[in-house]
Parts: sequence; structure tokens; C-alpha cells
Amino acid sequence: MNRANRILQMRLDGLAESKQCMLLDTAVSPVAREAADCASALFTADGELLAMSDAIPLLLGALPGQMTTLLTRYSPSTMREGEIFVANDPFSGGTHLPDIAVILPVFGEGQLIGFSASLLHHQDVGGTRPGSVPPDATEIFQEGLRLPPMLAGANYRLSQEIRDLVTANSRVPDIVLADLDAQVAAARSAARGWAQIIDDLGVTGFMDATADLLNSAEAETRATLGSLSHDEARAIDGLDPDATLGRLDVAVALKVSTDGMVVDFTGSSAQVPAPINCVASGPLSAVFYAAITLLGPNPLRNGGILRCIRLVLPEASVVNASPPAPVNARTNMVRAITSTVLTALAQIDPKGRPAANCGMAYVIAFSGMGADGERFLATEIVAGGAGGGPDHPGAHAVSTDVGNARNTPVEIIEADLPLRVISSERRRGSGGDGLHDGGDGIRRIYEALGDGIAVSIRGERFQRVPEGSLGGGAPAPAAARILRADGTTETLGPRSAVKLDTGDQLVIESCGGAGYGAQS
Amino acid sequence: MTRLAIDIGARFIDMIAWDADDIRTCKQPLGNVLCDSAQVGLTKLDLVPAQLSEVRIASTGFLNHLHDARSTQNGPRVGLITTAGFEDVATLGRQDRIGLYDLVTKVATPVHLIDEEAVFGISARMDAIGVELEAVDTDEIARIADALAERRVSSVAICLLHAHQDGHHEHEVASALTARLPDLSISLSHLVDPQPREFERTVSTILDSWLRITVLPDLAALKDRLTAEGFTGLWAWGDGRGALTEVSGSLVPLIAGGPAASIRGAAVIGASTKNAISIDVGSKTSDLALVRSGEPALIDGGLLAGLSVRGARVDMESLPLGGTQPVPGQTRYTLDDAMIAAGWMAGETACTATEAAQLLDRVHQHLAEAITRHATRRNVDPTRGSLVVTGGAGAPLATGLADALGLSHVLMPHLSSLAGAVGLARAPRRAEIQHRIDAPLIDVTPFMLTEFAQASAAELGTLPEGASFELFARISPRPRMPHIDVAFDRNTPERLVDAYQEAYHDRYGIAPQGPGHVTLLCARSDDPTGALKPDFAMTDGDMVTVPAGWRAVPVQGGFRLERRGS
Repeated sequence: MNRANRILQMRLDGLAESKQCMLLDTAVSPVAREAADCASALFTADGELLAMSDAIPLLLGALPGQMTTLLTRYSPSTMREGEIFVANDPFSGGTHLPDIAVILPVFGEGQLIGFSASLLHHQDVGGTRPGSVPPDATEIFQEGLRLPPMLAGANYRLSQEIRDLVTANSRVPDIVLADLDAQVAAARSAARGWAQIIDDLGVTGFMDATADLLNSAEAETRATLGSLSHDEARAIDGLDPDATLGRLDVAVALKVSTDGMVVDFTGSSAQVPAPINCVASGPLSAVFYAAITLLGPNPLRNGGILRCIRLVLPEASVVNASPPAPVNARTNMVRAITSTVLTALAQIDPKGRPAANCGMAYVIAFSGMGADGERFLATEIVAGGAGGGPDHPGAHAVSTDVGNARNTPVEIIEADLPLRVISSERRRGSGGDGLHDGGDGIRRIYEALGDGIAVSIRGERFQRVPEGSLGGGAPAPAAARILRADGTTETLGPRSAVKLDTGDQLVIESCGGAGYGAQS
Repeated sequence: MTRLAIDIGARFIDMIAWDADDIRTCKQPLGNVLCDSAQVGLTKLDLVPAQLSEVRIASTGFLNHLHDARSTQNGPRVGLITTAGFEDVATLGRQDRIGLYDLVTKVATPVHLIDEEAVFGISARMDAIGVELEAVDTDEIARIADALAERRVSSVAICLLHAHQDGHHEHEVASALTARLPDLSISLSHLVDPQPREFERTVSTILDSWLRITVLPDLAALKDRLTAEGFTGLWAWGDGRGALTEVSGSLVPLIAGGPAASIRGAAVIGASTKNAISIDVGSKTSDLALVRSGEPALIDGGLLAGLSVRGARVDMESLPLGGTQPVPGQTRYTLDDAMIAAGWMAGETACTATEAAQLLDRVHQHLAEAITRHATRRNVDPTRGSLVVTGGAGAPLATGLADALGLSHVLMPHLSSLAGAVGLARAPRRAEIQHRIDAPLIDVTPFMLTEFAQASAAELGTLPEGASFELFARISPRPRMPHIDVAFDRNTPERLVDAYQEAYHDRYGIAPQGPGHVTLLCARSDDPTGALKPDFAMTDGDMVTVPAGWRAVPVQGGFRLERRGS
């Protein structure tokens, strides 16, 4: 591939990243602004992924499916500059309902040249519990407003109809609408940057170059896959077993060749009436992420890689749920899928690969009415530890693999919510032992400063923790409990909905990373 | 009277002295003692301190030391005092990683600057609006002082929760420590970086604390030496924005002072170019920035030497590649070795000419890749812009870099090997008055703005001819959201709300995502008095070496090296 086209890929990557920065600058909700739970990408006019921001891979991998579904419903020939499309339906390419995709067609010299898209976790889209992540949901209908891909505005403005729809469904419509506006503005800014590229290359030159970029990425990926062992690798992991739901397994059979990477999830558990299921975007995110880790430094990161991926997904399973399965707590299922895929991948490409990461994150939503009578609602994401590596111990307290959410600063939490954070510390000793220990997880303690604070907690790895690598030890499992003001203690499970009153303390402990190698 | 600009690098002190009629330059090797080297330089310039009306100083030492500490994980470390329960704040960071697809998870935290045995939590506590929940326990501080003394900690960072709202706990702790450890250097977070978000503020405070024991002592000693020898003039530091400032509460703004000066020094020659990439190749680092129409962009923070550092500075990137650094991809030879073997500089090396050619090609490719990454991240195709090369190691690499980027020309400003000193000499002297208010925009009345403008103008005094006077309000849509600085006119303060709406829309393309919250009012004056003029007369020594196949064409501010036949 020529240097000019590689420069073009870098400019497009930069454009996607600038768009991501703008989202972080203008988003209002703490989960987007502080935790960075959002992602931006650019697509070709045909809907192929063109460039990605350095955002949460779990979200990035979901955008191509949203794009594909949009183009099956709307003909590009009918699209107009300034039109806005939105979608959040997990069963139409999405993830879970709080993640709303905003997609704008981009035009150059009067013709459609691509799409500017983003996915952002919105604070509340209705449903049975504030934050729209009810841990006790049994059907998607309990999880909030469901938006199939739809036209939601023109002239770079959301329509009044979509504003009314959000206002009627969300507990915090002003915040959701502000974040949607931020998505539209970011998409528009990317379109303006895109125009500069068209000024330099012209539409024809741009189209030719992007076709080459996609083909080159595909060729690079096939060449890498062809250089690896062609043996089938298998791995199995999953979520904590549940007394009601039974085992929740993710099974993977992975095979690579110049024909591509085929990942067969046959053997994974059937979907369950609990929100831990994920839809097809989950395994795609995991496998896409894993594939990129194979490609070395500075690969062409675009849809050419996706052309090399084929998934075999059992219908109505925990990795490919069918309606009306609930999916709001799908994050940890995607993390488990990622752990399973990476474990399999390490069998055919072991060099430099660390032991398993914690494979979990807590997503905690706090809500209630403040002393001023105003509703408060915020989501906090707590990571775990990284796996120990061949040369180094694992990093402590860090978002790993398909995650990269930031924590919410204690000073922001205490300013926004009736909570006091008693401590936020490294959970020492929680990483697995080894020649190189796994990184430690986090312990965070929140104290309620008011009564009736509702908390939705979605965690994982309370029982089933990752194994160490090459003789390394397993990490300590995650745990959560409430220390009531009256001195009693309530032990919590991985998915809990609880209420805190004044003086109650919520203790959250995340899982560490697995150890690498036998301890000397 | 003569003015002096001093840019301290890893191996040389670059000095420019100028007055109305004359400009003199000196590139003095840096010995073991900065003061002594500077003294030799002054002698070469035929100057004594008493002749100087002004000294302007910047140092790449801040960044060089940080790069070294990161790569070696060695060197001095500081103590840290936090709110109890939050002693791990520097380790936890913001929990995100850099290098999303790297197999090994890496984070950008300042733990390599901290003595982990000297981290202490204290029970004193503020709430989110700065109301005291628990007072400072002096017995507890006494025990910490003893422990710091036992660990021989010479500098400590204090970052307590919500100190940006009320810093009196930090002051109390500092007073108690100073009473027992009078020589202890203490950095207080509410003075260094008075903004919310405890991790970011902790990073700033640790940096300030660390720089006070690694870089500042030599610089302070130089000032003391010059003063002792008769210097009574003005002393100014080059900051990360490329302006001259007096050090107040924090050293953090000075970290990028050296590179910012170089970029400013290089910018003049790119003034007529829409997009120019400036790269300064020094002894330890290569610093690059995008310059649009002669002005580098400013940013509010980002990665510096692997750390996310808050604060306004030139939008630049610093790479750990310079003359004394190993050529990327191998450990045997430095860039200096390659340049010596190539006959580009004097010295001895075991490197052969053949090896040198390969190594230099690798350096060119590495830098070209970095330039491309930096430019494309800002939506600029580097092959469609200009390249401005400066720095001691820059000139010999310039045409090779142009080749690697596919450019037919490269710009070299006058005194390109002294670009940092040139930038300092041209910089305006900046005076700022900041007033924290932390109030909804609607509550910030025109009367308050007028009062601030008048008080600031009075405090700044009569400004010299040519000095600017600007007023800004720092506004975010809602409390704790990212801010923008909005200029307002003291004669029409009632326009602030409209100005905010317009400025926000100009930047983001939408109306502000909230009613507006003002955190700061700022008055700023840039005084160009005494600055070296862009069209200064050149000395005979400022000629460029032109490799075969290229020619040097004089242009405004320097030379344009063009490929022959292009």
C-alpha cells in the first residue's frame, strides 16, 4: 500500500479520535464525561468500518452491526446531508438499551461518502429501575425504551418527535437529550474534518484510496492469520454459576488460516431470563479486539479486519440472545467471551501473551431524590486487575481487554451525589500469585448521606475466577456487601438491587488479574 | 542595557544577548555545575551580570528528567500525603490504560516519582463544598514528620480531597510539617492545580514536588549566583505556552517551557504557511508541534513524558529521541554515534560509516512516522505542509527528514540550533491576575465583571505601549464540565452571556449544554517590551550546511532548503 493511503488512514483515525475528544468535552452525564463510556467511528458509504477512535473496544465492535442494520432499513440513495439516525435495539445490531447509536451520513461534492457514528451510554432510557440496568430484569421490556434504527432528525437537529419520545421515557430527559446533542455535534465536526480530506483528495481519489485501505487491511490480516498455527484451539469460561440459572458457560473453538478467523461458540449456554445475556455484537467486539492484538504495532484498523472474521453463534444462547431476552448486564458476558477467546488465542499465538485479566467490571448505578427535591442518577464503573505477563507483573486497578472505562473521581461523586466515599484503594493481595503476580483489584467503600438511595450493582467473578497461566495462581474473587448503620452486614451477589439509608456503607471489591508462571 | 535569553538543554546552554544595536550568541557546553557553565557563557558573550537588565530562562531539563525517570524507573522520589483511605490515588489513576491493543497493559500514573514507603493518609476531611468534617490532627502530622525524616524525604506533595474548594487543611499540614522539618520542600495541591478531580490534581502536585528537588535547585542557584554578582534586573521563566512568567504557585507550567520556546522560535519562519510541522531535535528529546499560520495551537492538558498533565501549553509532543539517546530499535549506538560516523559532528565512535547510514535512515523514518502521526491526528497531511527543523541535531537531519516525508523542501529559521533561546528572546512578558468565583453564569453580573476589570487594571498598573490587556471568564456549561475561556470587554460586560454562547458554538457547533458556570475570572497582559524583533540582523555564523542535491534559498526568517531541480 502506498504511503499516501497510509497517511489517509491515519488522518481518518485522527478524525475519529477528535470526534471522541469532542464527545468527552460536551457530554453531560458523568458516565460519558468521566467514565468515557462512549465510542466514535467512521464508515464508508457501503457501511464498512473505516476508522475508529481509541475508545472502549466493547463499544467500537458494536457499531458495525448498527451500521449494517441501518443500511438494510434505509437506502443510502434516500439520505440527505444533515439527517440523523439513531438506534439502540440490541436485536438490531445494538448492545443494551442505554447505548444509543447516533449516525450521520456524510457528503462530499454532493454525494454520500460515508457515515459518522458514535455510541454513548445514556444515563436512563426508562425501564423498571433508574439507570435502565435492572439486575432483576427477565425480559427486555423491563429495560427501557427500544429504538430500532430510525430517522431522528434533519439539518443536524434532533426532531421534536424524538425529543418528545425521550422526554416521555427517561427519568433524566434533559441529560439524555444533552448527550444526544453532543453526539450529533461530534458527528458534524467529523464531517467538517472529512470535508478537508475531500478538499485534498477529491471524492474519486478518496473512494479509491479507501477501497485500497480496506483491501490492504484485509490482506495484512489474512497474512498474519496465515502465519499462525492452523490447529483448532478450544477454551471455556463463563460467568458465576447461579442457583436458579445454572451454569453460564462460554465455549469457544477457534481456528485461523488465510481464509480468516472462525470462532465457533457452539456449546455456550442457552440464554437465561436474567440480564446477563448478550447479543451478537458482544462476541463480535471480543473477537475483533482479539484479532487486532494479533496484528502488531500500527496495523490498519478498519473493516478489512472484519472481513476476515466469521462467527458461529448458537441461536438463543447467552452469547447470541433472541428476543425477548434481557441484556442490560451484558458487559460481563462480553468480558467472559473476551477472556475465553484470548485463552484460545494464546494456544496458537502464545508469545508475549499475559495471564488472564480479571475479566469483569462493576457497573453501579446510584439514584434517588436529593435533599433539594431533585432526582439524582449516576453510573460508576469499577475495574479489576490485569494478568501478570511474561516479563512484568500485571497492572493494578485497570480497565483491561474490551473495557477501558475510567473511574469517576471521588470529588465528582461527592459533589454530584449524596454519598461520601470512605476509601478507594488497591485491594492488596487480590492478584493471583506467580512468577509475575496478577495486578490487584480495587476496594471502594461508599457511605450513604441520605435515605432511600437505590443502587443497581452488576458485577461478576464472585466465584468463577480466571486460572493462572503456566503455573500462576488464580486471583481472589470479587465480593460486595453492605455494612448497615445498625452494625449488621449483608453479603451481596454479583447482580443486586439494594437501597441504602443514612450511614449504610456499600463495600465493592473487584477481582484481580491471574498470575503468570510458577512462583519461584 | 542588555537582555539575555538562556535555554538550558541536556548538553548545552544556548544563550542570546541582545540590545537595540547588537545580538550575540553562544552555545556553551553544559558542565557538571550549571552556574559555572553559564558563567563561562557570559564571559564568551563579553558580559557581566550587572550589565543585564533582564534574564529570560527556560529549560528542557524538566522534561528530560521526567523522561529519564520514566525509562529508568530510578532517581529521586517524593513523599505523598493524602486523605486517609485514598493513599493509592496515584496508583489507581483514572483506571484507563494506554495502548488499547497492546498485549501488556500499561497505565499513565506517576508512581515512579513517589517513594511508596513515604505515602501517608491523614484523617482530616473536607466535604465537596469545602466544609470541614474532621480537623487536622497535629499529633498525626507529627508522626508523619518523623516518618518522613526517617525516610530522608526532602520533598512532599500534599493532595487532600476537595482542597481545591478550601485549602486550609493543606496549609495546616504544611505548617505543622515545616515546624518540625524546616528544610522540607512542600507542594500543596490547591496552590499547584486548584481544580477538581483528585487524581489529576495529585499528578500536578507530585510533579511540582519532584521538580523542586530535581531541576529547580540548579536554576535557583544560577539566579542566586547572578544576583550575587550584581544582577538586579528582571528574571522571567519561559512557560509551556511560550510566554514569560514569574514562578508563582507551581512549576508545572514550566515543564514544557523549553520546547514551547523552541516552537515559538521556529514559528516565525512558518508564518506564511497554512500548516507547518515544527520539530526540534536536541540532545535528549525531539519535540514537535503543528504550527498554523505561524501560531502553535494551545491545549489544556495531555500526555507529557508518559504522564497526563493538566494545564495550558503549546500542543506539542516530546519524543525521547535526541543526540545522546539510542537510535530506535537497537541499544548499541546513539544518534550522536551515527552523526559522528557520518562526519556530521566531531567526536569518536566505534560506529562505521555503513552502520551510520542505516542508523540515520532509521532515525529519519522514526521521526517521519512521529511527525505523520502528530499531523494526521490534527487532520493535516504532512506531505501537503511545510517542515521546520531546529535544534542542535536538527540541521544535519533536516534534508533526510524531508526525504523520509516526501517533501521537496524544508525550512530552517535563523539560529536554528538556538531556537529555544530565540523563542525566549521573542516571547512577551505575561502578567495574569486570576480570581476564583465558582458561580452560575447568571449570577455573574456586569457590575462584578467591571469591578474585576478595574481592580485588575489597577493591579497591573500602567501598561507599556504595545502591551495587550485581555479579560476572560472561564465557563463550563454545568459545574465540573470541561471549560472554555471566553473573552469579554470591560466596556460591554453585559455581553458575556452572548459571548459565551458564541464561543461555545464556534468550538463545538452546538449551544452550550447547560446554563453556564463560571469558575474563574482572568486578566492578562502581554508586554512585548524588549523582545527580539523577528527581523533581527543575522550574524555571519548563521549559515546552513547544504548537502549535495539541495540548495539554500534565503527567505523571511531563515532559509528554505530546496531539492535542486524542484
